Amino acid sequence: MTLAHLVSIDEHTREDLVEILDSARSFDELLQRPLRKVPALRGKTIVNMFFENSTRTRLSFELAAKRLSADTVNFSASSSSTSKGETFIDTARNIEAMKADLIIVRHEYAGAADLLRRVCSSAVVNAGDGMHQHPTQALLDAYTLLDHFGRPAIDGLTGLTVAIIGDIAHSRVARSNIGCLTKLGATVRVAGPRTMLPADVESLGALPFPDVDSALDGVDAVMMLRIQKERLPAGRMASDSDYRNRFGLSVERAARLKEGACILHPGPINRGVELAPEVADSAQALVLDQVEHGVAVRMAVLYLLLSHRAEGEP
Amino acid sequence: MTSLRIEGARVVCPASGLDDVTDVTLQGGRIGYVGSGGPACDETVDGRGQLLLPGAICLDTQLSDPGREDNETLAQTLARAAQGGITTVLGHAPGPPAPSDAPGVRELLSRAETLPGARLLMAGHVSVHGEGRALADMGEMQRAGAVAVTDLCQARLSRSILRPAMEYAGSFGLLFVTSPLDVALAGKAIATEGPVSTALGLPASPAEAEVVGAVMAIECARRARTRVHLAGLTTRAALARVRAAQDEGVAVTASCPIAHLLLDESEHLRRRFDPALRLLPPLRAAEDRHALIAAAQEGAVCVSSQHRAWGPVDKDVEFERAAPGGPTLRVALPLLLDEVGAGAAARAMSLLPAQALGLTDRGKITEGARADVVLLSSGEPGVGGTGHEARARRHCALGPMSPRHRVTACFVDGRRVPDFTDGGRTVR
Repeated sequence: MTLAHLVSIDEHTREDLVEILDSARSFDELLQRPLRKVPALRGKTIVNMFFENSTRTRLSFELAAKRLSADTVNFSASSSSTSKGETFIDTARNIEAMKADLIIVRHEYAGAADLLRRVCSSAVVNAGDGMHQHPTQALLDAYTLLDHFGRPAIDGLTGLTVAIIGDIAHSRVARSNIGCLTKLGATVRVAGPRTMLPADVESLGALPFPDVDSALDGVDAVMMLRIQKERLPAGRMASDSDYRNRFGLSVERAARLKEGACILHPGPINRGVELAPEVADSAQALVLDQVEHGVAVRMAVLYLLLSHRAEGEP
Repeated sequence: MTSLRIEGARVVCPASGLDDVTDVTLQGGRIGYVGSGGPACDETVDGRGQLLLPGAICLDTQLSDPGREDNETLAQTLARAAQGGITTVLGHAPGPPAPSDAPGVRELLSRAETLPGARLLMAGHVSVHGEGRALADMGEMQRAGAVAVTDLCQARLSRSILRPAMEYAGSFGLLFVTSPLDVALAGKAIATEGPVSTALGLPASPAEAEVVGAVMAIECARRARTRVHLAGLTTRAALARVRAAQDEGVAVTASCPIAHLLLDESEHLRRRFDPALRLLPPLRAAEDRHALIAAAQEGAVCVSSQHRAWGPVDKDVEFERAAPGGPTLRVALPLLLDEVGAGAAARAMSLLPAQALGLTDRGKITEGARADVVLLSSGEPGVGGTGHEARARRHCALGPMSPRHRVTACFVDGRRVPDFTDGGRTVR
């Protein structure tokens, strides 16, 4: 890896991404064994610093660190000094003073992970910052696609077309995925209500489509984004049913997908809104594979960042 | 009162059209004589190789005192302004206990009288406690010395009373200073909608939020027949509306913050999530910046410092939480000079702001005008800085820029601003 942190996909080269995904393959194999633990990061301390609610991402990172034998500490804003008025920077510096080797951060504001790496010497992994980035989600999605299509990481996703449907504008998952998938060679289409599509979405590297049906036509994979009502400003969406009918992946739409096409969702799913329950539970949907791969991908990220540091790299 | 002659500087005064190497005599707080061979003086200042400009006037300076003296005292604000060649600031304060009444205005002006540095003019709050609802006692504030009223840096005035508020202010000859930003459209955005905000995932609003607000203010000003100043004008479209309104005889003027003249939104990609770049309005597109530079060169827009003396508590935080703006009093004029040259800079920061305020006694170097002038040298850009200066650079969007011009002396009322002291302590 050429960088000491994982803050944003766009800071990394395709080679960096391939190295992580390649490494994730080894850890995925390890996780299939009866004994799923290695001493790779024994003696290292990893802090989960979560200023936003999270279940799967936090657990996935914690499990990844534990599988690598690192000491893990969990921190959540609601039960910490931040609720007493401590600033983000002070909190981070205090945690660093306790000799954390790596800090995983999730925060409601874009740029929080960037700020953290400026004020701390620990390695920083961004677990989601506002609407900006969620790089490990993109990596685990890419890994899931590689796995599904039986490709080694070095081959990337060249020749595949992926449609991302839903709220692109307010989604860190979409931003990270568009960057990651295109770096790996995939073509990325996007579609959704115009209130949720940035007018300049092409500047991210994605091709906007006027409606969901044309965007899904002939794609190899479809990624349905969660409607994030907690992040959505007023006036961007009508009712759940209007969204479901015009932009959701219904049983009928899923049936029209190309044979062998797969369905991804970053979770948690709003069943019956962006994804019909029958589709979510179908064999086409790789939602639980994504969760499983998340641990292997995060093991790879933690291992590569900390082992490079141990070697004295930046 | 002693007399003083500044000899051999290049004197630039857009009001008189003067741009020549000559002498300027300051006598009795006024400019006594412009030209060589003036009367004998008590003191001479060697201005050779330097530039002598009318003192700059900033129409958008937020005071931190009272309330946030931890960031900057009034003495420090006035001293730092003078250090940057600004001899008059139109100050406004950010909400209670800031002055929204006559005693508050009177108290600040009275304190400023005794302080060295720039001269303070006051813009009182247009609404009671800056809450945006009921009209403040503008008549009393005018009697207490206010020359303007404003809703900058406080709850913006409700649209329903914008025009009556302008009319009421006009009853007392007060300048009405407001932002062209439409609050409803701007929302809580911290970036301009476009590829940069899309790439960084920043809450954004369209640049049109400014033109909508500008048009509303202009149309209200047209009906109210009050002098209105739009502070924080940053887009080409809003600028075009202001110029068109001026051509139609509407008494509207505008000022552009120095940061928006020198930086565009692409700076966010170079300095990702740097809290110093958190500004209000947010940085705009390159084409907007180019339009502002052209307007400054043509003498169509004032340039302000948009000084906000935030400290670490306000700026050393997440980008989205950072207070908007930064400390710019010391760099605004030197950087503007670097960008547009002496004639345009003197017009944009001296003559036009004086005209916007309706003041004919300053903003120029002509006999009888107030002896507010600034002497500047140019050379290699300065580097570094310690203490306050280093902190100010860190918190200022323009921090990485080092001006080639440097203020060597600043004269207010004909007196050289002393060693920039604050109660005996040197202000750094």
